[in-house]
Amino acid sequence: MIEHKNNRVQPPYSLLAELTHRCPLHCPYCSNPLEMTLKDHELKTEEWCRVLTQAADLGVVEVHFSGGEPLLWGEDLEALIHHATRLEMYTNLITSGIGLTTEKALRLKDAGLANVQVSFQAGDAKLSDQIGGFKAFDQKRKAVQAVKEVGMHLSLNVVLHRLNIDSLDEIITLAEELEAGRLELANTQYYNWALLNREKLLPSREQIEQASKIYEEAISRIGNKMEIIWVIPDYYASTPKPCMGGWGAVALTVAPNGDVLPCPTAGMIEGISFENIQKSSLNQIWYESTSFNAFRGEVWMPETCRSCDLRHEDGGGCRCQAFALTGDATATDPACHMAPEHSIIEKAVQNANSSSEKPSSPVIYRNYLQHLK
Amino acid sequence: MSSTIPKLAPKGRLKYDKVRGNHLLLLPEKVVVLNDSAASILTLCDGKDSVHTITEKLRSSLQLKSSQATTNGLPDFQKMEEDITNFLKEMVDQGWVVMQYDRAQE
Repeated sequence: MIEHKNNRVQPPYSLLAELTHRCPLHCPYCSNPLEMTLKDHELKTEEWCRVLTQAADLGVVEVHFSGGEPLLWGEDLEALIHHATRLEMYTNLITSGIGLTTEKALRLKDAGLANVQVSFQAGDAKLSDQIGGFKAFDQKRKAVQAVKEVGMHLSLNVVLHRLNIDSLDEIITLAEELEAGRLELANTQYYNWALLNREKLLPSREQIEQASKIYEEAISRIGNKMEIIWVIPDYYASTPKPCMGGWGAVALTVAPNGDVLPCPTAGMIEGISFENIQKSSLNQIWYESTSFNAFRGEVWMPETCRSCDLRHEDGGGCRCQAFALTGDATATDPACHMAPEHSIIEKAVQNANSSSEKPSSPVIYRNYLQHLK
Repeated sequence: MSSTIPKLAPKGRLKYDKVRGNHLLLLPEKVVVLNDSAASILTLCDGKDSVHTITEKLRSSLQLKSSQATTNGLPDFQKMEEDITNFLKEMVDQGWVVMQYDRAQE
C-alpha cells in the first residue's frame, strides 16, 4: 500500500522555512498559529542545515525563509542561505524589512540570496503602521532601498482586507515607485488570527469589484515591467482555492519548532498529529507519514467532492478552512457554492455587505507574549 | 536582433534537477520545467554572446553530438537563428531574459 502511494506522490518543489514566530509587527491577520513557539524551542542553525540537506535530497528546489520575522531569529541566517545555495536551491527571504540594513543585505546577497520579499501593510505610512501595530513604514522603505542598492530582486507583498483594499491604487503606485519586480496582493486567509478578526477584515462586494477594476487597469498599464498577482478572494468566488496545489502535493512547511506541515496553517487542525524533524527525516514524513497522506488523492473526499468534476481543479479546497469553519477537516471547503455548509460563508459575506453598523469591538492584534507554546 | 546579447534575468537561476531528471528555471515563487533545447539556449545567455554566436555554438554542438553528422544533416543556420530568436523573444516577454545591445555598437 505504501509502495503504491510512493509511486503516485511526487517530490515537493518548495520549502517554507519558518525560523521563528517572533516578529516586531502585530498584524491582525497573521497566519502564524495563536499559540506560538517559544524562542527556546526554535531549531538551531545546525538542525536547519540538516533540514535543508534533506529537503534538497527530497527534490526541493526553492526555499523561502520566513517567520515571524526571520531576521529576528538569533541564529546564523547567512549560513543557512549559503548552505541552501550550495545545494543549488533558490533562496527567498520573506521579511517585514525591520533590521534589513544595506550591510546586512550585502552579506545575505554574498551568501547567495536570490530574492527578497518585503511586506507592506498599506500604501501610506499612517495606515500601514496602524495595521501592523508598529511604526515600521519608514524602516521598510529603507530596507527596500538596501535590497535595490545591493542589486537583489525585490518582491513586495501586501495582504488585502477591508481596511486597506480601498487604497489599492496607492499600493500599486508605491510598488512602482520602489521598482519592485513583483507585487503580490494576497487576500487575507481567515484562519487563526484573521478568523478572530473576520468581521473587521472581510471586504464588501463593492470593495472587491472596485479593487478588481484597479487591478485590471494596472496590469494593462504596467505590462511586464512589474508582475502583479491577485485573485478574487474565495469568499467571493463560487469555487474554493486549490490550496497549496493540494495537500502534500508540491510544498511543505517546517515550523520554528521543527514540526513538518503541508502548509503554514495546518497545525491548527485538531486530531492530526504532525511529525517533527527531530524524530523523523523529511523524506519519511513526506512519503510515509499519516499527516501528509491524510488528504492525498480522493479517498478522503466527501460525496459532494467525489461526485464533482471540479475536484481535479480544486482538490476539494482548503483543509484548514474546512476545519476552521465546520470543525471537520474532511468536509468540502465551505467556500464552494455546492458545499453543504456554504451558508457559513454566505452569512459572513452578508454581514460584510450589510449597511448596518459594525460592532465596535476592537481589532485583536497578533501578540507573541500572550500566546506562547 | 542577431547582434543583440541576451542575458538570463538576474532573478532567474538555471538548475539541472537530479531528482526529477529535468532542467529547471528557478524564479521567485515559480519553477519552470525546461526541455533540452530551451535549457541549452538559456545556458548560453550569459550576457557575453550574441544571438548569432549562440546559434553558432549550438549548431556546432549538434554537429559534435551526432556521430554521422554531415553538414547537410544540420538545420539551416538562418532557420535555426530564427527559431532561437523567437524563443528568446518569448523569454523576454516573460521577463526571464533581458536583451542588451552589442557593446561594439555603443
